[in-house]
Amino acid sequence: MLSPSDLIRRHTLRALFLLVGILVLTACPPAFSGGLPGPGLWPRVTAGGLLACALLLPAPKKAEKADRARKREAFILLASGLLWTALLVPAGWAAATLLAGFIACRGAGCSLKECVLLPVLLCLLLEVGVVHLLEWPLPEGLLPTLLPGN
Amino acid sequence: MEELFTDMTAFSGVWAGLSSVFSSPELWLLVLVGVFLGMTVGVLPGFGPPAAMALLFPLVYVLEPLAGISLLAGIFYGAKYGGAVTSILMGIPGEADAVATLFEGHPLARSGRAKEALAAATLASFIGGTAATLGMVLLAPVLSRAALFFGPSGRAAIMAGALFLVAFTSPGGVRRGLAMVFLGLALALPGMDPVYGASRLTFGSWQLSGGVELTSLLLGIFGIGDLLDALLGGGSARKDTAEADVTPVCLRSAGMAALRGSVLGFATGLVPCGAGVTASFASHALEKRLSRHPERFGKGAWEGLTGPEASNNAAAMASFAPLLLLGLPTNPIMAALLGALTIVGVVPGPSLPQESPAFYWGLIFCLLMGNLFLLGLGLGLAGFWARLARLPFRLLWPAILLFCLVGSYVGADGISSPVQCLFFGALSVFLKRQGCSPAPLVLAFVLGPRLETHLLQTLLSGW
Amino acid sequence: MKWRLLHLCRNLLWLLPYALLTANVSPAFADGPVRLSVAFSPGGALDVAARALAKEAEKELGSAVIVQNTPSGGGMTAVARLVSSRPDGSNLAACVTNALIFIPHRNDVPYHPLKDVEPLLVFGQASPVLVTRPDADWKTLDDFLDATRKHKGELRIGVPGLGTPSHIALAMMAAKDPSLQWRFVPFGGPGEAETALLGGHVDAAASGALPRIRKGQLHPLMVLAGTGLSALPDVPSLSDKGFSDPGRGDSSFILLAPAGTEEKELDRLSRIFEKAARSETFLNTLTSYSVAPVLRNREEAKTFLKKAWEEEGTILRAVGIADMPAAHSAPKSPEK
Repeated sequence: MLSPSDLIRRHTLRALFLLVGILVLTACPPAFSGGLPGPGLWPRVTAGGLLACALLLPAPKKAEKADRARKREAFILLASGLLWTALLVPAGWAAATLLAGFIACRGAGCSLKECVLLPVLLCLLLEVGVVHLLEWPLPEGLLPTLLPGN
Repeated sequence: MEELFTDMTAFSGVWAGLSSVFSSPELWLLVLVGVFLGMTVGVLPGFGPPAAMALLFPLVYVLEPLAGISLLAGIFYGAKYGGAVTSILMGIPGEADAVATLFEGHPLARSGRAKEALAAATLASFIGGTAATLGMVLLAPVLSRAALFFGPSGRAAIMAGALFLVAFTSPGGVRRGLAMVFLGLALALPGMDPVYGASRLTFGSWQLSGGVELTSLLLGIFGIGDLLDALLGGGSARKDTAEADVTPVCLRSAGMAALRGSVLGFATGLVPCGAGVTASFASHALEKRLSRHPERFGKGAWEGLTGPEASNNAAAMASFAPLLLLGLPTNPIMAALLGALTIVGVVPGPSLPQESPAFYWGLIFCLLMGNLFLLGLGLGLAGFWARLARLPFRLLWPAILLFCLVGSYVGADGISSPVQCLFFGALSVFLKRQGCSPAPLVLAFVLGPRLETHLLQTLLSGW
Repeated sequence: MKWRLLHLCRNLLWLLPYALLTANVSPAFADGPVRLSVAFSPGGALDVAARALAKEAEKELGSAVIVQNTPSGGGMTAVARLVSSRPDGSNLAACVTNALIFIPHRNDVPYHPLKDVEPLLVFGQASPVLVTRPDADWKTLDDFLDATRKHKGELRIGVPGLGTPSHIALAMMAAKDPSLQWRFVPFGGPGEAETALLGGHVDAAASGALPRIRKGQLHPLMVLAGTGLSALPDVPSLSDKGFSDPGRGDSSFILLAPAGTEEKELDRLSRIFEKAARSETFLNTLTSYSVAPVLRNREEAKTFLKKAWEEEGTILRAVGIADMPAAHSAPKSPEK
């Protein structure tokens, strides 16, 4: 008897492919317009492939489970990434980097000193490299730019 | 067609080219600057050579034609090296061409052989680039004719062939490899269709109307994905690595791989089929098939590093041939260069070597020169880069996270990109746990729209 | 800790020379760059004209103009991208007006041609030429049309996109004369179509590359516009053969900004680009590609676009290709 988690694990990928295939099939334009291949042809081919894969995929091998502590670190990584993205436009890149960087460093297990220094260093690098050198626009925000002019 | 390609007795033009190169020492400086800048740009994910070239484009107007084009060309392959650096050291590809390098390069770096890996990559790039440039000199007219022969059906065939090759040799097996290919094709679908311009699969979302961004995909899968992997699973990746039993470099086999890669890269570079990416992936798959120890691949096989590096440089050089002789740009960088050529008044065509021998041969020599510079810089800086990689992991990973987020934001100029990046990181972990390798997915994503375009062109020609 | 700081300091030092280098090497531009998207792949008349215009405009503008190519969709992609970009004066597009006039009549486009874009300038009018290989079986237009009739719809013509002026002109020819039928193969721009031609994958191509024609690499059959070209006196035009001109509206080169850009910015940009369009270097570029130097400033461009939009619908319906399938020339029953 397979446990529910095993069942899920075995069929998740196939379910994913099935879902994506059906999604693509239903949401794409018709394959032929005016008797000629149109914009919907290729999506249908792709969807067909996806559905075929859903049927033919082999079951995954048994994978080791990551323990709690590691999952927590992975979660912190994703969370700090999302935080950075959420803060980017309202608070500006510098503030977002400092805050999200601090949280990520804490999650990574750095000492307090490193957790403050590293985001500051990254900010500096971004300032010089991106804002001044490459002149790519990053959203300004709460903290002023350190070096004059741009 | 015969009159289109007059014969190449113009080796007299070679002298004109040589003299134009040696008479202006500032040309050397410009190529050096270009290579340096390209290297920097290649190291930064999300800011590819197009960005750097676009920034320095105004210089093309100011400088002499040869100087301006050489500068831009220098940036182009300097970026290839830079992409290899991040691929090997951090497992984050600077651009799509560098993805295949990380398959073997990153494991090598993790087991403490970063300096050797970088040196090997540089040497392989040099071999590939030089071989391709020589090939161009000797064979260009004949091969350009061959390039013309590959119309839409031919190109579609090459791309499909590469996809199948990569799927078949993918670590998870054929079925999983094909599944990844189709998933990659599906990810490339949202957005505007490459031929008709019809909006597909955007579900009314403005965010999706541009489709999935390549930068987010690359950074997500290889940057964030690797980080998550390291956090969740590998004890080996987290600590500064234990010495795995990496095989010692076998110069002969690595060298042969580089030569094979050069030929592969050169051939694919002549045809618009996403050459750099296609060639490097195909080379990796090829080396794996040919190797007597395929189980070493994925853990640090030297042939799997030198082959792709040689092939992507060879493809880069070879793509100059269709550009100069046919005015046919085989990738976006060449397209930008074509724009530059038009501005400086050089009309690409089969008679270019006869009409502007100083320019044509001068450019070829500049390319060779740039290759040499790259070799010097690469070998010299390998130690420096390798030191960087030895920083403790806990310091490295927030930096990499930020790198990826900024890179994806800037690469696409929108908030949805960093979110996509994180999503793809999570997806990559999920797929790896299921036994699938994301490599065919990336290749399929890059080639998907082009494959579709050529397929439709073929069908419309014959309907 | 000391070791780490040292290394990171070295990194920063390594970056600083670049900052200085770039500052010295690039021209000193004050504002952020302006991005100009060109609607076709490089090498065609629009691309060359747009780049020449950009180069001239940079001097007055004070910031770099970065030209990028966004081909596909016959110009639709470039306009759609423009419409969804930031309206702060840093994003512009150069396309041929068919993307605004013809295509929206045919397809569902994610923009309204009059409301979602602000025309800044009309800077030229293209005349694509139907070309073929120098060694082809047909030497004149009549030969080609005869061959078309004989092969009954098997001849392939490479066009720079479906819904581009050259495609429409040929489709209108076919609509008028039912014995003419072609297969239209879409490419990203005239350059790609020409290469396919040289490789033998299509039998004729619609291109604008006069330099190549002059060199004898391509053989011209017909000018796909109402009037002939002075550079090609022996080549007939559409009206010479009794076919209708799809309208000067379709083949004008237009510079666009997204709707919602500030009035002040629009004025400034249109003034600067207009001045650039009057410069001698720009006009020379146009002549070498045989683009007519039609110039319409902002107000004129706006009225022109509006009028052309209204007229186009009428013309298309009259010719019977308002509901035309995208890539074939066989029309449904024409209404008169």
